[in-house]
Amino acid sequence: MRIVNKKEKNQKDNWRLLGLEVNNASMNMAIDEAIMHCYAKGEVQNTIRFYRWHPSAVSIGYFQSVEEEVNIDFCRKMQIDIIRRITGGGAVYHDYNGEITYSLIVDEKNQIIPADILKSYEVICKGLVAGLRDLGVEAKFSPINDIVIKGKKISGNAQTRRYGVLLQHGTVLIDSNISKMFNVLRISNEKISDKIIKNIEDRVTNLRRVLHRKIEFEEVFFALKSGFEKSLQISLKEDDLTDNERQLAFQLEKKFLDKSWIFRR
Amino acid sequence: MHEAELKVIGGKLIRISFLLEDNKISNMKITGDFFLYPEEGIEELERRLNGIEAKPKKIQEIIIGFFNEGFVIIGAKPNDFTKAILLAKNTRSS
Repeated sequence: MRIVNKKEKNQKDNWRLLGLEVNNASMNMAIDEAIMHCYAKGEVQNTIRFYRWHPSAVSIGYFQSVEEEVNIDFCRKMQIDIIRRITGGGAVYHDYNGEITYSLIVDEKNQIIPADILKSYEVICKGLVAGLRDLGVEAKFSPINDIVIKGKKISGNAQTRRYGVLLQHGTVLIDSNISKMFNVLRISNEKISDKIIKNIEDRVTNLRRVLHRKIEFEEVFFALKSGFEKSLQISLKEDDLTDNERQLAFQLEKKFLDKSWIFRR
Repeated sequence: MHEAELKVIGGKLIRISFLLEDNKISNMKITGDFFLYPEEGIEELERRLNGIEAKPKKIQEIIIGFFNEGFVIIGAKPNDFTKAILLAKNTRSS
């Protein structure tokens, strides 16, 4: 048996932190993918990134159809971008004024990441849960990939694994305009019927609603950062994208802007 | 066009649409908020379902064969895809 001394046991892994950036939808998705590629080549370390979307945007899951999920005319009118993710899962409205997104990029064989995908959602989401609890809300993980407060969704998460790299990104609703969200998204009747909730808006909440106060993006960012650090036993050190990541992101952005990608399914 | 949507209890939504001519499937489209790993597998599954006879046994055989190759589905079970396809088959063509 290998003896682990106290110092080694208490040593936290250093991960890279990419601070709260604002980009448009295509660049946000291109950066996440670029980090994955550069990580696979061994150029960058484990990373957690926080970002916002300007203009506001709707992202749909890899397997979804824009026509089925998004009110395209409403988005055009309101100048809301539409983007397809490389991850599965559902459609998300990324409100510039009310939502924060994170992404986490790590070796899928990292010791803290369970090989079982369902379990890995829970392990990673625990960081968000810890951060939200620090803000004073009773958040809990709700399988498969959500975080809820008193049964209402506040965070959705999606994960892909490619080239031996795990990317999980997800949203935390801060002060999203929930009525607007449901004008952007088309919700299927089947999905509503399963939840036995007549008013679909009751399924979702945000931090402002549960805390009964306005909360700044920076406050949420620091709470989530610290939640990940505690939960994953890591130390996050602020840094920037590398030149290679930025260059690759500019190339990959073309794919995310391409109609054949957006309307692929 | 035959279409159906199936909400898996405690899981995700599967939407199916396809054309049926002489009981043969074409233009198969599988969409939804489930997770499939690797993701590109969905196009392969659609390709394999195109051209086959829309018989329950044949559909199930294709689906089971596909998932036995190591594709991982989260939010649904392989059999939910068979169910959704049969549900679509039994809807009136629009």
